[in-house]
Amino acid sequence: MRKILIIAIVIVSCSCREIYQRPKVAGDRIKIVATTSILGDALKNIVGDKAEIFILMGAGTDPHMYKPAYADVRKLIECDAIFYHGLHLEGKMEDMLVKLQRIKKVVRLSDALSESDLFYMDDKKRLPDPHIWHDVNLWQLCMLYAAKAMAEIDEKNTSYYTLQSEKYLLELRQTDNLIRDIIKDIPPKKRIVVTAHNAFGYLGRAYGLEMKSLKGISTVSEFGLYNLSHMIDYIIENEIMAIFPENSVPEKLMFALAEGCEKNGWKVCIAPALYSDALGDAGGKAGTYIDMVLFNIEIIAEYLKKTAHDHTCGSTRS
Amino acid sequence: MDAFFVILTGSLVAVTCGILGIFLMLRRMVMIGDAISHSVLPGIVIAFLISGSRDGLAMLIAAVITGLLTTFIIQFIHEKGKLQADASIGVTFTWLFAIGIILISVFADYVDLDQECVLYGEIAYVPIDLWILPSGIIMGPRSVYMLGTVLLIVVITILFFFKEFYMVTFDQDFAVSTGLSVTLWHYILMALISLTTVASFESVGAILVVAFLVAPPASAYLLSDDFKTIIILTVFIGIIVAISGYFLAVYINSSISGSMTVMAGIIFAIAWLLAFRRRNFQKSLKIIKF
Repeated sequence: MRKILIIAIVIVSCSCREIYQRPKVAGDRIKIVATTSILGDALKNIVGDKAEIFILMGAGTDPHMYKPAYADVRKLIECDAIFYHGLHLEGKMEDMLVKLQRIKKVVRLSDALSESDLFYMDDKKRLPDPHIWHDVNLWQLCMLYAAKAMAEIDEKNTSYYTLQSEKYLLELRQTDNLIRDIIKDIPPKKRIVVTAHNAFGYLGRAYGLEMKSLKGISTVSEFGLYNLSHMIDYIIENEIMAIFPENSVPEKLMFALAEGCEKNGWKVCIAPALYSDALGDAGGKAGTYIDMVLFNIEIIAEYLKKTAHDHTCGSTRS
Repeated sequence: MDAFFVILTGSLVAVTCGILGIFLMLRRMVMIGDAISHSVLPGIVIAFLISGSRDGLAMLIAAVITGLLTTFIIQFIHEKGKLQADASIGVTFTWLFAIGIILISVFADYVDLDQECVLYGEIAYVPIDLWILPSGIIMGPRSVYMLGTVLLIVVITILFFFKEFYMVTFDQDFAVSTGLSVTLWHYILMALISLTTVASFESVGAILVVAFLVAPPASAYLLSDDFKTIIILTVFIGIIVAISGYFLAVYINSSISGSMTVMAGIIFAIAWLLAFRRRNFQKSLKIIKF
């Protein structure tokens, strides 16, 4: 029995020494795996045509609900480097990626940020919010970090990656300025954004919007009736004109909220869904990272600027 | 090589769960696996509130403890309350799961916490979820070691005390008359089940465990009346399910645990058809005899 066990362990541990490194073929492009569609799109701008990028969680996939298919795991084994967000966005998968770091190039983007950059979900500052990309400034830091990592992974193209990342960082800076301009047009009193789950903490902090959400960070946990009735009171008290659903949370939550307000004599508009955890379809209005943040902010601005004169929202009491 | 590890892990889960599943089926408690998959939630939340982290090991320990608690409550209600097995399973796990949800919404609403994202593993990741020594030597997939240990514990316990388990399962009155503590052996079986299911959840995810607890034993049960043959058939069917499920997943590029579960269902259907023929054949034999 013991003999069999020892032999089994020896076989298992010997056989897997080599399979985690792909044999290098001259002229082959570098292969990179990115965990989410948001990260994948941003990386594409940096690596250009020098590397192939494979995205695990495609457009519209909620990272909490992701289940790997057979080919996904093959890609993870065969690729040259893995890029992921960290801060528990990938859930239990992160434990595995941290371990894999010891035998493979694995880049965690949240390492680019210092503790003061992070937005915490609890009072004790133990649990950072993973949705960093909603703050374009922080995302620039992450992209700078990713570009440096790419330069290390593929040394002969270092100058190319530096050039590409400079171009992309400039674009990101312009986007950031554009967002600030859009926000400026919203009257300060009206800058309150009501969402379903608490994914926009960074957006609110970076651009001076007050974020209110029905439930916590998890897209799984149920919201309490207490929260719902409090939110209704809050909306009416602050004369909020619109509420914002998200593409990863069922809209019926927002309908329940709108209905509750209307029963109390206050009509709120339900805005088109914001993109929180994943991009929209490629080529669509939120198909790239930059398009996504701009889409979100334009929707927010358009709906926050609504007034009772539009007759779509406001008091229904005559 | 990664194909081998996935199939090996699947087979380890299939054999361990299958063997225990036979005893569960005879005691009408197969859905206990599903029950544990829900009832570990309060344990996870409490472990998080104490430790402040969602670290894998803390979650695993919490789940083992809650799993044991679940099976003991089920056994206790069933035995002392004289309640049917299925009803005591249902009462216990819904209650524990609901406690977990309430704990989350009261204390931990701000954090992404549920068994799906902090505890359940995924069989597809087995080849890359490695055990690496501090010196950098790769020892191979972590799950293989963990599930291998659990399999050894289960097989050794059952082989060693086969007579006792056999008696308390089939003839409780006789077991009592020989001075055997039926209660003790039931609790030992329950402890093995919670250990196995939680370790398997952590490595391969929930649905596969629930499927392996039920489908191979049920198929074997249809094909034979002899207890030892049922055990051997269960092991055999479990391994076939793991192998065929893996290749189905590769062929259609889909979820591995989903494909294995589908294969378990297909093999059960085949067993059912074979059993149907077998029963009819025996019936016709009887007609000829009389």
